[in-house]
Amino acid sequence: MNEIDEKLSVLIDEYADNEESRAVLNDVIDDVNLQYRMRRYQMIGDVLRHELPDQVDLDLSHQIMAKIRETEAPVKSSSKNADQSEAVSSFWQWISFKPVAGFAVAATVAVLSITLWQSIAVKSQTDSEQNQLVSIEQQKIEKLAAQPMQINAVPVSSNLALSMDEGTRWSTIEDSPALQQKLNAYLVNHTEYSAPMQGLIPQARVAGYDAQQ
Amino acid sequence: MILLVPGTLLATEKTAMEWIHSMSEAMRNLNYRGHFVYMHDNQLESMSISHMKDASGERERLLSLNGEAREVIRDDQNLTCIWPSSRKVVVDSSHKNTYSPLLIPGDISKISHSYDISLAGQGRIAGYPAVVVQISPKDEFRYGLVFWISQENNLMLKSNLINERNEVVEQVMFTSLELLKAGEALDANATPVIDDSFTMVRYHSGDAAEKTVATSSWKISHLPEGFKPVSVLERLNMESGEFFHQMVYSDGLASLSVFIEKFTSQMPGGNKSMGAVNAFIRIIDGHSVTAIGEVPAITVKTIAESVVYP
Repeated sequence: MNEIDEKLSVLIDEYADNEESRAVLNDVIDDVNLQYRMRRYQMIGDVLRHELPDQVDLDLSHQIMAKIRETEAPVKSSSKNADQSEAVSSFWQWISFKPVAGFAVAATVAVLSITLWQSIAVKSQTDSEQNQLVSIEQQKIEKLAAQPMQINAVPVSSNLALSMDEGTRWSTIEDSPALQQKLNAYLVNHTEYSAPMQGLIPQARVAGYDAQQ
Repeated sequence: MILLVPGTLLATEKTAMEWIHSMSEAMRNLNYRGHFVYMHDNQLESMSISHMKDASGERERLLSLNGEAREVIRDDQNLTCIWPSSRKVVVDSSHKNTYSPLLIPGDISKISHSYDISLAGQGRIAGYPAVVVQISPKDEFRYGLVFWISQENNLMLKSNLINERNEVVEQVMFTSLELLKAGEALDANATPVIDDSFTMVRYHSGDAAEKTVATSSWKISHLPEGFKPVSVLERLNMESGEFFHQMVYSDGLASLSVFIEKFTSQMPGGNKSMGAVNAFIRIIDGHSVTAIGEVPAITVKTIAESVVYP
């Protein structure tokens, strides 16, 4: 992990003081590569941990923006984010379901994530002629990205959980969906920090859900 | 006269460990596509896989050929899962290390204490001559592995995960496999058509939901031989708003985690299993202690029962 990686990691962990956080955020905004890396730091496996609510609060980004305006957020990041946040609905949904933290840094990171993805999506379109290696799946994802936001986004994890309940999931004496869900969440958490003994198996497990239906 | 093609060596000219390393490299760096079957819990599923590596990185597509055409697309950044019947697409971060069918640590001594690695003959899978490499555990606390590795291109053709009763608990076996030609794109056939009716969710958390900590006040009084602590984390339980502990242990090949959080009625104790994955839940002084991993039941039980309340 190099220096900027460490800073990003620290930033996400909310350990950085405001000055340091602002400096890192400014660096990220100016560097697309860092944007990707920051996105990787921030994206976690909560979808597979079944932690999505049934209702998505579409006003969340505005709430976060308001939170930032109340704070002394860095001028550079907040102004860019404010401009870009207007275009959120036309691209990927970055959905933050967790309660808005009372920390300026956390809120800034949340909005930054939303808007960074927008800028990445825009860049992928404008640079499309240069990108000769755009794969089929990337094109499909970009098509999806152009769709309007879903108001009642059903958590995909629910689908996964349902599959687990109906398929070959945990063999337990108790028929408890909550227990199944908990164990699945633990398994996902564990997989994040360990290499599976058979590398193809995790993907196969995902693709194999509901195979008997 | 023996003819050798690039990447080909007679089985006797490479050690078992060299075959394992060659396989890991081939699975990561070669461009290939094929069909394989995945067996678990007395169920058999067929899937197709395409893998590419070029200047833009690694990309891999996995498509279920039975029932719903569920698709998993992985690249260096994202893991995209598509469920056509339920019209869902989810994008999550990717774990690059899972490209390899087996990650052998650079320091072989880390696993040599717990496993014997040996050549176990030759075979033929998916039309390819294969060398068989066996990784046998030295005790009952970990699974064994058997790999069939192509003698032509070093790709993994088949793998068995073997439990302590010498039973195959999970199996992956290719029925067809071919190298992609230069410049050939991933196979687009039979992939689900994504239209405007799909719901797409990309989940993001703005606050830190986990953090690495130096130590945990919870201790393990007895670890099976070979298992060492890897990391200790605190994770946020979104429902309760409280952090819980995760302690990761590994013997260099097998791994498990111990999760400790305040007890809820959702966590009855005892053994649980899912294919090759076992879990054991124990309640200690108002906390649930769950050991979980791709290890035999006795391993998670032994470790869970060794957790000491601070």
